[in-house]
Amino acid sequence: MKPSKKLLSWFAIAGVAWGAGFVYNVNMGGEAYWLKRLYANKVAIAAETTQPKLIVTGGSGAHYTIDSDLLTKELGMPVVNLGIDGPVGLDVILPSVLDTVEPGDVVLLIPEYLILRQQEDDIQDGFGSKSGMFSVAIGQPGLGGVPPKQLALETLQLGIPSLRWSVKSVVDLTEEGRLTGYYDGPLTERGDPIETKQRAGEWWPLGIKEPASPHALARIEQFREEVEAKGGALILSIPWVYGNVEDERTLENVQKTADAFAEIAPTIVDSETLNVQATPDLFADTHYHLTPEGREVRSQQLAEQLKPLLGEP
Amino acid sequence: MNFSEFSFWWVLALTSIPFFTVRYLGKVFDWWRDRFDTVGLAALSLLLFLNASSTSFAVFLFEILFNYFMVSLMLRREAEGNKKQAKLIATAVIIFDVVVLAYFKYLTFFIEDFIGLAVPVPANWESGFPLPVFQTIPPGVSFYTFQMVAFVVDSYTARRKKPIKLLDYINFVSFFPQIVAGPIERRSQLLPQIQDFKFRFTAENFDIGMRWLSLGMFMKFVLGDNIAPYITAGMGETSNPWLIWFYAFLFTLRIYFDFGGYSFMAVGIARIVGVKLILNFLAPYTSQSINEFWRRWHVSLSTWFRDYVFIPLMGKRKKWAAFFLFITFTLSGFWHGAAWNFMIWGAYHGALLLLLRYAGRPFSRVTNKFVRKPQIVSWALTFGSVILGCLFFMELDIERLMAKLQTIATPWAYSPARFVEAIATFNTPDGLVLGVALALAIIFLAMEHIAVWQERPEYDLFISGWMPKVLLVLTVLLAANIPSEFIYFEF
Repeated sequence: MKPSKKLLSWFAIAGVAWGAGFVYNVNMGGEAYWLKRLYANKVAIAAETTQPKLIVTGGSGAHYTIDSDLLTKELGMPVVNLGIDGPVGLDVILPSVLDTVEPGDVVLLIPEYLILRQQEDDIQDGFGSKSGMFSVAIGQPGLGGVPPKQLALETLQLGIPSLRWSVKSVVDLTEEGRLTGYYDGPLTERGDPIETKQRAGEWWPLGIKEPASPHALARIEQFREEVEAKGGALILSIPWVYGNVEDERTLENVQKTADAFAEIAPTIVDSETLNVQATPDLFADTHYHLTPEGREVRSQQLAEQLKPLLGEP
Repeated sequence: MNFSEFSFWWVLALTSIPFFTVRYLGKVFDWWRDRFDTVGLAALSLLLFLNASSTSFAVFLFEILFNYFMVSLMLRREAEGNKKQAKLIATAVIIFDVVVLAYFKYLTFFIEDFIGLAVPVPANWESGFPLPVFQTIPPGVSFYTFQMVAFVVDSYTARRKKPIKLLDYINFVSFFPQIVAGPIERRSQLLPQIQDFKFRFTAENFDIGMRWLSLGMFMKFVLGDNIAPYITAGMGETSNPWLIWFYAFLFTLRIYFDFGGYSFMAVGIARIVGVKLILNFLAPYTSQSINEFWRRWHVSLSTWFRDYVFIPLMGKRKKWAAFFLFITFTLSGFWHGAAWNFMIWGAYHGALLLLLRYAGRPFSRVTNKFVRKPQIVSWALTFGSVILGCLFFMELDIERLMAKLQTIATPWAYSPARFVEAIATFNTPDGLVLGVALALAIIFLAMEHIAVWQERPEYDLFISGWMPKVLLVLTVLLAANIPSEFIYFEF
C-alpha cells in the first residue's frame, strides 16, 4: 500500500466508525436521539398551540411534574410542557425555549437545584454534562455558548455508542422489537409524559447544599429580558423536591433562592413548606419527578398561585 | 500523561496544530531549523505536564534543573579525575531524589502508620508539621524520580562521560508520552533518540504508532474501563468467597488492561513522533511461572529494581540472593503505594519467587509424572497466584482484607447456596454487559496465548494486518462513556 493510502486508511476507518456511532446516537437509539426527539416533539406542540399560552420549562423537574391539561382547565389558557432534562444545563435550556415564545405568552421556569448550582470538575457554571451533546443533536452546535472544549468532547462522544448502550440496544431489539431510552415514552398533546417511572431503590431526603449561583441568577435575569423583548412575561417557581425538612441549611438555601428569584421576576412558592416535601409519597423515580397523583396536586397548587399573577380567567 | 482525560488531547491539539503548521510553513520557506524541533518537544512536554498538574509542575521543574546541574558537575569532577567527589555528588543527588519522593508519597504513612505503631500520633499532627503535607501524590513523581535516579547512576557508570545539553535532558526526563506513568526509560535506550531531537513524521512511523495506539486504546477504554465499575461495586463483599475471588479476578484483568493499555498508547504516541519506547508488558498472563510473570509484567520497573536495588544490595554476597530478592520485592510493593497492603503484596510475590526457587523443581517432577500437560497446571497455578496477589493489591482497607482472606480460607464458606447467590448478583442487564466485556477480554488473552505458543512476538496478532483497524473500530463503538482513572496514576 502507498504511504499516503496507509495514512489515510486510519482516518477513513476511524471516520466511518465514528460516523456509524453518531448515526446510532443521534438518529436511532442513543441518549441524544431520545432527547432530540423529546425536544422536537415539544417544540412542534408549542408551535401548534394557540397564543397566548403558558410555557412551562426547566429540566425533567418540569417535564415530570405538571399536569398541563389540569393547568389549562384551571387557568383558561393553553399550557405547553417544555421541560427538557437537567443535565442539558440552564444556559442551553433557556435559549432552546426562547424560539417558542410569542407575544402574550407567559413562561413559567421551574429549574431544579441541580441546574442552579455552581458546577464542579471541568464543567462551567450554567452547563451540564449533556449541553454540548444536546446542542449538536438538535442541529444548533454550541447553543447557549457551550465552551469549545466541552463541545468538542461531547461531539466526539456522540460518535461513541459504548458497550453498555450497544448491549442494551441488542437486548431491546430482542425483547421489545424496538430501541428504548429514558425519554422514549409518548407525550400528551400538551407535552406531558404519559408514562410514569417508579423508583426501585431506597429513598432518602435530598439536602440542598447551596442556593442558586450568581451565574444562574444572572442568566435567568437575562432570560427575563429576552422573553420580555419577545412580548412575553416570565414567572419563576421553586421546584417541588422530596427533601430534608429537618435540615436548616436546606431550608435556608431554598429561601435564599426564592428571595433571589423574587428580585428577578414574580416567584411562586409555598411559603410554609418552601416546596420541600417531607415524604416521598407523591414522588415517582427521582426526588423531583412526580407520580400522576403528585402532578395533579402540584398543578392544582401552581394554578392557585398563578391565577393572581395571570388574572382570573 | 493521562490519555483517558480529554484535557490531554485537547491541549495536545491546541498546541500541536499551530506548532506544526508553523513548522510546515517554516520548512516550505526554508527558515525552520532542527533546533526548533528540540525546543518544540520540550515546550510541548512541559505544557502538557503543567496542564496535568500545576503544583507538581513546579516540583518537577526544580528537580529537572537540580538533577541536570548536579549531574553536569559530577561529570566535570570525573573528567578532572576527582572520582571521590563525583561519587559523593551522585550519592547526594540520588538521596535528594528519593527524599523528595518519600516526602510526597510516604510522609503521612510514615508518621501515622509507622511511628503511630510505636507512639500515639495526634489526629491533627499535620497542622504542627513544619512542611506542607500532601494528601495526594503529585502525578508522575514515582516514575520520573526513578528515571532521574537511573540517569544519575548510568551517567556515573557510563564509559563515555560526554556531557549532555539541558534541552536534551529536559526532553529525556519529560518526554510527554511516558513521563507520568512510564515506561521508565534508560539513558542508553532513550537518550540517543532524544538528543538533538527532530520530529520524524513518516507514514511508516504513523502506521506503526497507530497500531500500538489502537491496541492500547482497546485495552484501556474497551476492556479495562468496562470492567472497572463492577470492581468498585463489589469492593465491600467480604462474606461470599466465590464473589471475593471473582472480583479479584476482575481486578487482575482490569489492572493489566488499564496499565498495559496506557503503556501501549505511550508506545504508539511516541512512535508517531519517531521515538521507540520499550514494551512494558509482554503478555504477562501467559506466564507459566512467577519468574516468567515478572519478566513480562511492568518490565521497566522490574528491571529497574533488578539493576538499581537488587544487584547493588546483594553485591558479592550471592549466598544471600534469596533474602535480597525478597527485600527487593517488598520494596517494589512499597513503591506502588504508601500502605501496608502494597508491602504485603510485594512480600507475597517475593515469597512466591522463593517458593518457586526451592520447591519448583520437586513440584515439577511430581506433576510431570501424573499430568499429561504440566504446562497447563503451571499456568493455572501462576495465574491463580497472581489473582490472589491482586486481592492484596486492590484492598487498601486492611481489616476488610483480613475478612476477605478469612472467608476465602474457610472451606465451608464455598457452599452451593453462596455460588447461586454469586451468580444471581450478575443476573441483570448490567451483568450481561460485564459478560460481553469478559468475553472480549478472554478472547484477547487467548490470542496472546496463541501468539506465545506460536513463538511470535506477544502482541503480533493484534498489531499485524487488519487487526489493529478492527481494534480501532471496536474502540470507537464500545469504549466506556465514563473512562476510569488509570490505576498507576495513583502511584
